Amino acid sequence: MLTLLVIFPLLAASFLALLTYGKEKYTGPIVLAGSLITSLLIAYASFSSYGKIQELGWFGISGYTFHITTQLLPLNIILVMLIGIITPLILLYSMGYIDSKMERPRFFFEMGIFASAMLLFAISGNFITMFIAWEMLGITSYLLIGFWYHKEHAPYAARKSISTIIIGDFSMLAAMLIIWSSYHTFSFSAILAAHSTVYLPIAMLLVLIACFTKSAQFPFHEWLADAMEGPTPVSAFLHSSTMVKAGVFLVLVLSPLFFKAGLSELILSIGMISVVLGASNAISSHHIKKILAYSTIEDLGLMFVAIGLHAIIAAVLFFIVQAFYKAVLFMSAGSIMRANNEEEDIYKLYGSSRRKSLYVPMLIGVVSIAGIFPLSGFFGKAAIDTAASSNIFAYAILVIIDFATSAYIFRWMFIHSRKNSKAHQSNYAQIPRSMICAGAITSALVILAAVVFFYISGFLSYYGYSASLPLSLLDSIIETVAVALGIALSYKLFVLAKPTGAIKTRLYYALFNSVLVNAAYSYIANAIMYFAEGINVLDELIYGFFASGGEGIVAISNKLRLIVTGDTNNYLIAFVAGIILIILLLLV
Amino acid sequence: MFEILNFAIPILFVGLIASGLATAMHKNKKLSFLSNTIMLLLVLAFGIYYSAFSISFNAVSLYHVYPFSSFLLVLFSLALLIVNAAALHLDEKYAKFGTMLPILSVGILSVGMASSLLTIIVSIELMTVPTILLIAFSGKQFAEPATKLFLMAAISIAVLAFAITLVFPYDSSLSLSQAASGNMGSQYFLVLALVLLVASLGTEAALFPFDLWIPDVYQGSPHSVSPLLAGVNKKVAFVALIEIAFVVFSGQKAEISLVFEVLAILTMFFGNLGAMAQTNVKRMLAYSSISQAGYIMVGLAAFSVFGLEASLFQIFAHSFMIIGAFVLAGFLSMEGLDTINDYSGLYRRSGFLAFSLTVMMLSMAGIPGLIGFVGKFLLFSSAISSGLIALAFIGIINSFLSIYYYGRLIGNVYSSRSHKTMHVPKTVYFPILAAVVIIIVFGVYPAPLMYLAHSAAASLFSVI
Amino acid sequence: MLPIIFLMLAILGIGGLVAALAGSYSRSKLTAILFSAVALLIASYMVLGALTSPGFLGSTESLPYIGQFGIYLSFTITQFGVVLVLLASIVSFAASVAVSTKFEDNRNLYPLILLFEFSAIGLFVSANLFLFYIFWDVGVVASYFLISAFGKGENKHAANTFLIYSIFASAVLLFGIMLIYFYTPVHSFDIGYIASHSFEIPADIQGMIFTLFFIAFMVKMPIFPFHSWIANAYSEAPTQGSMLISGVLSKFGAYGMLLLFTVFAFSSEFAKYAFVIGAISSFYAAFVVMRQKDLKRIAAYSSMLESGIILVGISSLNVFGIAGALYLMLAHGLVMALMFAVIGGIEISYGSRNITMLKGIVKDSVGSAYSFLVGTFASTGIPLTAGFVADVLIFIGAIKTYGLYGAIPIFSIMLLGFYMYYAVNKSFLSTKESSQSIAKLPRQMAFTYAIAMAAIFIFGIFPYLVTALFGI
Repeated sequence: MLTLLVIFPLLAASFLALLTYGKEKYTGPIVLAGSLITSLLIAYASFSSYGKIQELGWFGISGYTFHITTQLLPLNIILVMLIGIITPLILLYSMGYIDSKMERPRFFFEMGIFASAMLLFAISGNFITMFIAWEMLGITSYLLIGFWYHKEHAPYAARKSISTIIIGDFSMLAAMLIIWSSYHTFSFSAILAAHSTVYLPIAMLLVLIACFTKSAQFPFHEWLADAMEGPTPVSAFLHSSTMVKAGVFLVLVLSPLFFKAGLSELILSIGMISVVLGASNAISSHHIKKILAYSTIEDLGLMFVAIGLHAIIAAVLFFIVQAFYKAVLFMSAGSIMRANNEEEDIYKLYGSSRRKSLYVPMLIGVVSIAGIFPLSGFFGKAAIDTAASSNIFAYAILVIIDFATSAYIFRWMFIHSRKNSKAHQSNYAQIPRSMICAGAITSALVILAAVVFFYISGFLSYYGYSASLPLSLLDSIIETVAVALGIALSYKLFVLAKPTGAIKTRLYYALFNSVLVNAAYSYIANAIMYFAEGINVLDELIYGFFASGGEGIVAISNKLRLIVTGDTNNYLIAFVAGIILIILLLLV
Repeated sequence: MFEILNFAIPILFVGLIASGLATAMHKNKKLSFLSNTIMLLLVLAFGIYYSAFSISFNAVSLYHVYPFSSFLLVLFSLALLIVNAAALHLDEKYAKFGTMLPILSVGILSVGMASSLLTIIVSIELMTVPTILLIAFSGKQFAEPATKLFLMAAISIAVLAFAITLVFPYDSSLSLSQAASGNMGSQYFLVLALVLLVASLGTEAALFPFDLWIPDVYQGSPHSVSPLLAGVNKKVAFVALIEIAFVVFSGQKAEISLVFEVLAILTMFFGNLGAMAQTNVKRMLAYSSISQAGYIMVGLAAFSVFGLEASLFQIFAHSFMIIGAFVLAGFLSMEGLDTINDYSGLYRRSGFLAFSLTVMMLSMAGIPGLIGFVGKFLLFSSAISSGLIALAFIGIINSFLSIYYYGRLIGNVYSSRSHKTMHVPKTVYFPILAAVVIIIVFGVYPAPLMYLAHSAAASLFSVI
Repeated sequence: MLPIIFLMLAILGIGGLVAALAGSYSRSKLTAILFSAVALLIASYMVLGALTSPGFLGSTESLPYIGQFGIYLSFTITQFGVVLVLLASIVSFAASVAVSTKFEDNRNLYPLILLFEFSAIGLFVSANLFLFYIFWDVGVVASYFLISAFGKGENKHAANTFLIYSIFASAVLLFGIMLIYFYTPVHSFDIGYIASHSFEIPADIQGMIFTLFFIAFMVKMPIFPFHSWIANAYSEAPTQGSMLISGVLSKFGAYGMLLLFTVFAFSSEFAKYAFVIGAISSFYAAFVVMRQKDLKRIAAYSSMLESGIILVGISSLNVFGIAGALYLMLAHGLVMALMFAVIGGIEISYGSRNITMLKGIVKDSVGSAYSFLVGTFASTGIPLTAGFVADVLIFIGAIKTYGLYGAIPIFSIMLLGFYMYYAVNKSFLSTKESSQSIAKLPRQMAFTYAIAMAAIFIFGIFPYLVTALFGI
């Protein structure tokens, strides 16, 4: 079976969604159905096309053919499975979430394209196919983040995301063209098998920059927090299985090349910085979705740390488990906001513990992200800790981060599960059933995902990594202790102390350093604009230069006119002078 | 075969003079116009006949027919026909014009056929004197241009006569071809004669610095005469210059080439730069015609068959462009439109006039598809083929400069001020149409005209 | 075989006359749409022919023209020509369909569009430099009238600036062509002959010819520092004029550049300078764009940026760069047609083009807003729009020739992207405040958008339509 075909039901359904203006109640079901068909096809293709690389000629020029290549190697299968499972859930959630009829066709169209692009990315087997998907992801995420045109900050957030992402896009374009020029192929498998060339380090560095922008790593991470302006299903989707995962995934797929290019230290250190920045902002932020967003930055940083430590299997494991718990957390966040009039400040959110069908899945997610045995998050984190145990510095940071993670995620939950205050009434009954339902199913998957730990190393043996996933008991214990301490601290500060708002101490500002990063961004943007201003001045000078050349000629013309005085005497003098001049000319 | 045909041209000249004298007596506008036109048409017919069959013969010792002269017969008779027709409207009385035109036509038409220096002098006189009278008789306000033209013409003819006497001692006769064979190399007198010749003919041919009177006179002359001055008289001076310089001074190739080159550059710059600052359309056209004279000199400076062909082509091309333009400008001046600013919105008054003016201006600016481009192309090509790359480049730069004022005029014509439409009388419509047709037809398909110009040029060189 | 080029030119010539004499606005417009549609069909047939039958490319049609110079009315179909002919016919068709507020005496527009199309197509299939020059200048004059738009005072300055720059280019070009003619062993204008004998031209003349041609084409493309005319010309022209001038006329220069570097073998030694100039020009344009507020000026400078990229592609002198440059000419022509059509539509709907004034366009003009978005995507080379494959090929070519330096100009497009998305978010996709729409978008404009967008996607999804011309 042609792997590429798995995308088409979803793609077709997305375009169909555009035709449903006027019959908006069909929009969601159509796209959901398309996505379910696609999911079935994914399951089928994962067996039938396992390990296959398929090439379709796209265009050729003077003997070289550029292919649309798909591959279903274990890593690809992992990602398509994730997408195949999560997409229908998110769509289900969205059916309840998007209640404005006018917005529905556009939303489902953009979501469908977004998911299709991610699927294409997941199965892509060469750079050009990957890049098509990569760019599609970029522009659809841009549209989805700015989906609510009427909001004040949504357009700004969309622009911020696209501005960051196109840095990556063009780095990626440059990288892949440099690679093609050295290898004369875009195919991942061929490039992985080839010997390295002189241009490989620079090319892989550019790819890495691209992956960092997509996966929101330092210094490109701030867009992800602003991306929370988009509808919540988009955030849930963006942070679990799509978009931000694309960068990590590409690094995973091409990891031998990065190692060959000597970039593992860079990956490790950027990952570390992002982990720290993500965690510190997550601790200090009080925006319900931004906390989760910073947490995602941290999660992705952890994956890069694992890759930087060459612990690919640990990275993959965490890659999988993170998808589920992040999805469920975002779904819960969306539901809670829906129940509280779309309020975003956690200190103004109440009563999430009241509706158990919401609370239990959320709790599962929280426990999982904190890393408590036996939920899936534990295995992911412990595996990474174990991998880092040889590097004491990294290990120390990771343990602190484990502590911090459990602290902020429980803070998150403790605060908005407070009982309603008198001034504020929340209405948990109005949350549509589909939203609750999607959350519940996802939370079940969070529990199930723990199983992955036992099969993952076998599944990835295709790549010839070390046979088993090491998970030392000591590291697990240390991790659990750190988590427990975090929960305890959080309980003390946010349940017992009953805070009513963020306490803005110096520590708060040190932790909430996204302000600084944003200031740096605008500083750079201003610098570029000043430079542009300078170029514009130059442009006017050039215009003036040519214009004054023209004016100069006209000025000469005005002077020249004066020799025609209208007096015949002068004409006669000129006549004689002319004769003399010609004679002189001939004599000389 | 028909011996009598060899004398057709002198007979027609007699007919022309008769037509002029008859006009002077009967003063019937229509009749006079008709007789002039018929006479010129007959000349045109013979010109075409001679050209088409490349007929050559020596009729009498004063004139001969060969492709060069036939080409000019066609050119001048056609040009005069248009000028004559346009004068019907531009000169209300027409009687004086109808009298003078056929007489000065004889001078104009015979210059190309001259086989003797004497013929050249006589024809130039025959052309100039009636022209001056024509201007002077048109009214008191024309006294100034008439005087200026008279002074310049008098000086130029005197200098020309002096130049010819300088050549004479080296030569047993005044015959052009014998002058060529009897010419004895670069004596100082010969060079001096050359210089004086260039100065005298350059006065009417509008070469800098002998051309300072041109703007005043072209602008100040009656509307019916300006086309004649710019489109025909100037070209006659060129023809005389060509005949004498190329035939009599064929041994002074280096000097001629140098002098012409310098004059070409000066004239082009003077014409183009001068035109930029003008606001009056007729005056701008006068400067533009100076610059066109400069282009023609580029071909002459090349001093080759090709160069001469190019110059002849451009003489032909420019005649019709400038006649059309002056007729148009004259007509509009009669309607009260004099300056470039007055022309704004012309397009709304009359689409035809706007279109014609655009065609003429674009042609003069050297836009392909129009005759002016072919002329310039030939001229600059000929300069390059003679190795004068710098001259060709300066020519092209000048051609670029000229777009400033042509473009400004065109831009004004199409600006949107709305006006009442304007009635264009037939006597203006058809002359302009004829010019436009010639500009477009020979611009799109120049091969026949190039062929004629080429054989004319080659025949002149074979005289040497 | 059918003399297809003569047929096409004749049809356009006749169409121009018919449109000029049609009498009324609607009849004139209908004529233009009809004839340009026929031309589009013929152009499509040419592309198909070039793709399917091997002898089609390089087939020549000629008639004697000026014997003395050995000039024939000779036309030949090359890979370059066939693609650009298609571009010219698509853009002209779209422009005939479009409407604009600026031509109050619209009737004159349509003969001009057809005249322009005539000149463009003639230029792209000319087999000798003499015809090339003739069509070049006819195109310039037609564009001049398209800009000056028969009226409207503010256009006059722009039109004159355009005319002066263009005639300068023409003059320089003409001089170069004449030099070539007289310095080839057998004097000839024939491009094929010159290609095989270019090394027999004396070395100093070679340098002179290259400089002259290069300057002429730089002005027209336009390339820094000869670009000052575009901002005014593109922004003051009526919609159709901007579409044609930026979409097709600037390709005159690019096509000339392509000929210069492919036909005249001696150009290769200057290629590296061309690369540097192209790169500088594209970055320069990217920075100039950042301070523009007028949508048309934004589009104009983005067009200049793409011209720089085209030059980068051409200067790489390999099949990737050349094919990519050709592809980008096509893509960019279509994108510009779309952009200017959309901007024209916005001007109709809102009476303004200034992004500081325009707000929330998506609220009232959904079609215009999303079409502009597509234009933004296409001009930053998003895959599946026509620009992507062009960029890929160009930069592969550049990297192959110039190593890592070849990849640098890619980032100028990124800079453009920053500002384009800024504009989109500022004026199009944010409805917190929204401008008052004064008129509904005419249906013809919607068709124009559709034509341009369809072409952009077709050439984005099926790149072999172009690349196959260079051998599969």
